[in-house]
Amino acid sequence: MSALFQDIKYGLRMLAKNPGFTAVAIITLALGIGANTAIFSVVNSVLIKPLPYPDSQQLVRIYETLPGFDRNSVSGGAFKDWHGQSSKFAHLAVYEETRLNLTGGRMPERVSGLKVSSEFLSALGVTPTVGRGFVAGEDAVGGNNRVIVLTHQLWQGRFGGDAGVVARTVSLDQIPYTVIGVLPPNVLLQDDAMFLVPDVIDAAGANWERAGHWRQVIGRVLPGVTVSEVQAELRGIKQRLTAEYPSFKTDWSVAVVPMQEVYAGDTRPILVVLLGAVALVLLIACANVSNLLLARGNARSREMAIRAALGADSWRIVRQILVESLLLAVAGCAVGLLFALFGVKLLTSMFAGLLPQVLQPKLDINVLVFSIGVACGCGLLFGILPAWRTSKPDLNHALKETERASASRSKRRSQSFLVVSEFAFTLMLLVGVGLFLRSFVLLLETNPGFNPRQTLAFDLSFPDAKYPKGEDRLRFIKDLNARVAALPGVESVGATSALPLSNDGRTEFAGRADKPPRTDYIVACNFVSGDYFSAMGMPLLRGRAISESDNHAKASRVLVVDESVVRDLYPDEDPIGQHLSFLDESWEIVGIVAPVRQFFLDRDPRPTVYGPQSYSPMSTSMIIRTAQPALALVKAVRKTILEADPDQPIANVRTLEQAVRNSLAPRRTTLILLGLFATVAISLASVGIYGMMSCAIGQRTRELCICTALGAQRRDIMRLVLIGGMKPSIIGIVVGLAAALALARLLESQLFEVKAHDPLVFIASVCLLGLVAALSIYFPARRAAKVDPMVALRYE
Amino acid sequence: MIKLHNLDRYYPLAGGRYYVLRRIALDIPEGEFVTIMGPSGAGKSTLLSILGMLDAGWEGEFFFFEQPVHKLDPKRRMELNKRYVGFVFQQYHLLDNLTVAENLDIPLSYRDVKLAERKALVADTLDRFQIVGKKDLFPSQLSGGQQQLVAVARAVIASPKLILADEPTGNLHSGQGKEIMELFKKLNNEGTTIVQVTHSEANAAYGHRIIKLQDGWIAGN
Ligand SMILES: Nc1ncnc2c1ncn2[C@@H]1O[C@H](COP(=O)(O)OP(=O)(O)OP(=O)(O)O)[C@@H](O)[C@H]1O
Ligand SMILES: [Mg+2]
Repeated sequence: MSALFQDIKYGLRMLAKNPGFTAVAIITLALGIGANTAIFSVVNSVLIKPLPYPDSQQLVRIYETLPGFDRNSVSGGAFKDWHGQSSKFAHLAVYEETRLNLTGGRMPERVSGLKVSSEFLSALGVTPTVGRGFVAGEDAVGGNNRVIVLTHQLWQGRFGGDAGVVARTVSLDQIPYTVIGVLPPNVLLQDDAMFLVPDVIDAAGANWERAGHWRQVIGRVLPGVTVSEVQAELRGIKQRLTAEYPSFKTDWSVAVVPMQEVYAGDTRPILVVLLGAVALVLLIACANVSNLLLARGNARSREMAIRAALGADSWRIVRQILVESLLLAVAGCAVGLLFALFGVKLLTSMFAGLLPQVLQPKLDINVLVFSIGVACGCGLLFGILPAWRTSKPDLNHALKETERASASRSKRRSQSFLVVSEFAFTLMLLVGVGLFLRSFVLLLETNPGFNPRQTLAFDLSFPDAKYPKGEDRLRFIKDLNARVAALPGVESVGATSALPLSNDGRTEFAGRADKPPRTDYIVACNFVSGDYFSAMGMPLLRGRAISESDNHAKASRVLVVDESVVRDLYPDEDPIGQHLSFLDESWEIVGIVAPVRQFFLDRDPRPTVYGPQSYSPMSTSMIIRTAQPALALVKAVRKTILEADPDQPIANVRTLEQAVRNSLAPRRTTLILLGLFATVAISLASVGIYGMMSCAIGQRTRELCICTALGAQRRDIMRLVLIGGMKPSIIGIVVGLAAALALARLLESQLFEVKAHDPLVFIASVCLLGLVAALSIYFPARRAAKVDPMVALRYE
Repeated sequence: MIKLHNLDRYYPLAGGRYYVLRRIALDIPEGEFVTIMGPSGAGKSTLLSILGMLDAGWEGEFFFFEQPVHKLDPKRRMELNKRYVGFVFQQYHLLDNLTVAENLDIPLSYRDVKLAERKALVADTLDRFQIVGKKDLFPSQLSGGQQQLVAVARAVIASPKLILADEPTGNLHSGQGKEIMELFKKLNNEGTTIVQVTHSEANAAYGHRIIKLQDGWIAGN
């Protein structure tokens, strides 16, 4: 023990004696360890740490599935079947997202919340901190439905955290609800949700059949029950009852997914890529420090030879070197944790839109342990080569050597090996970044199918109490369209059931009316009014748009379809005037528009149909095309709307440019992070080769000077040095190229319209790295060529 | 204790071998005090480092306490070194980053001596060599002679059975040199075997016999 203590003491002294070396090594390591810690904090919170609910491994999400969609939302009827017949759940609950107008007192506020069945909170294992949760029957028809549970946030924000809030009444969509409880802070995975109200399940209405899919189902399985057991049971239930399901659901089934996996699944590919990237950065950092240690190796190997001559066995020598590198690693870890602190802040803001609040990264004990583990691993990794080299000193040789040691060939080989690996790792990273960058650029250039410039969009809401009938809503929308269109600076106005890239939209089956009905063709459907197509900047290719005369309760059923529908259903015919069977009715096709990327910018557009809003006047978003910068109009528009309906909040004001940008956020995040890591990697690699060159040239100055004295031109010397330096970098680039070719395939699923072996990316990466290598070699080489031979020789 | 038979040490040379030691035969019984002399470059230091197991590039037979060193692997050789040998290097070879006291402590720390005992031994030795005042200085802060003193102190501190000293008094004032020789004499009387290299006839006189080396050959006993 005391011997180890002594090793530590000497190690610290050695580090203190070379402050420059120590600082560079620590910062290099800190960059690597900090980046790894920060990324791991995300991995930890999303993939490793259990969800913040008691026995969270018992929590599952349940989906209905159909061929091609393995996570469809659930119909009320299917939920009822499971709830009634499954024996494997402690609790089973549905929820659906809702937005209601919270009115009374201040400005009307549109608030998101969840409609949940009564077992929702018990399934999660959450108990309100104030008041109570829902009880059985509160979600039943005729039950005590007008009750609300507030989230901590809403309670604090709107009710000042008043514990007396229970039993008070609040007004949602102008219906009074009684507050029964308040949730603890941050317990819902739906960040927007501010309240919970009962999802009233009406067994008679369409609401509760097996055909309409808009609900989500969560369950808590009984202890000891596995996911596959539950899934088998639910599939069995579906099989037994299949006759009672709509005919199109014959080959539908059920999927049960652990709740954690629902969130982990989406982010896992990004996280794996990022983790791979930071691992490469760390390896480069280790190679660099290893190189630094080697550069000091001459003095050290003499010291170690003396120690060996005085009786140290090789384990003691290895231990001492390793203790020293571990000390460096620990210091690097400490500084790295500081970096990570900032990194986690940065990551939190970058991942804000991608992850629920609850899953945001934090520096906790897991992360700390990881970080220290990584640091120790690094310490061993970069210490092992120098330790191994010095543990077997050639005593006879080392003891005779003076301080001015010559570089042994094997040491130069070790250094070259390190430079080779640095360059190989850096090239792999560069290729990865290049592929993502090119995907991103291509995405920016992708035509979304509409013109996002100079647009303003926002959402409207129609509480049942105020707008009980479809006509009421339609009238309001019409009125609003006209009022807004009259505003100066507005070019056109339209409304739709779901705007593109807003995580919103409905899909239905469709087919030709003149062919037998089919259940394998699914279209996205939007219900529009006003000048929707011109406000969106969607070119009408043929026929006519949906006009105001189509938007009546009694107007005939007409549809505008996009080119994909034409391609799929009417490849050789003129679709105008043909009839489409859709929502169990026959609709006439009157126009054709270009395809729009409704759901994702990076996926091919879904076939889409557009109908008059009079057939589905439910959720509504408005879109305005403006002559001036769009955001300048927000005030005027808001005023106009409040004039039309003083209780109408305008929610989610945004431009379509913002919507496009937001839809790229995950990719942008990945790209920025990868770019950051690549920059660090490339700097480390160039420092690495610069260091190796300076060291090698320093050792060879004498030799070079003799050459000069013998008549070699400066140019010859430069060539000698450049060739010597370029060799390891070129080998590194070649090795990295091979590795990148092999590994790029792993990224393929995340690329957009770029092949994993995109030649442009590969060539650009090689050129960039080659340039960096050339520059890092050029400067020490020039210095070497400039040395006055006489000075150097006399110095010897 | 030491038996050498037909021991050669050579360096490869373009087109042949350059012999530093040639057909060395030597027998040093335990308890002897031997002096090796000879002109510069004769191979004295080379011989000494072979005896101390620090040089492995030789051929021939070498028995150490009846153990055939020529058949031992490097690890076993270093164990013999650690167990029996104290070495005074011609170039001192003090560790630059350790203080005088720490330099003295090194051989003890590699020999599993208890900490308290080590402290006592270091204090004793500092006292014996009259360098207590220098104990916290680094080698670079010592004069050449003081460094040599520390090097000798470090060689004897672990009470080795064999002391190999390569010109241990070269840099010392004759009075101090004499003290070292007296110390060797005393250790020898207590049973320690000593092999020293020196150019000084006076120092050689402390030993029992002189081995003369000339161009790698033993010229005479
Ligand atoms: N690495 C080497 N390659 C070739 N010859 C070497 C090497 N090391 C030592 N020699 C040669 O070995 C010979 C003996 O050297 P050694 O150090 O043993 O001499 P020495 O008798 O101790 O001399 P001094 O009294 O000057 O210390 C010298 O001639 C030297 O040139
Ligand atoms: Mg010598």
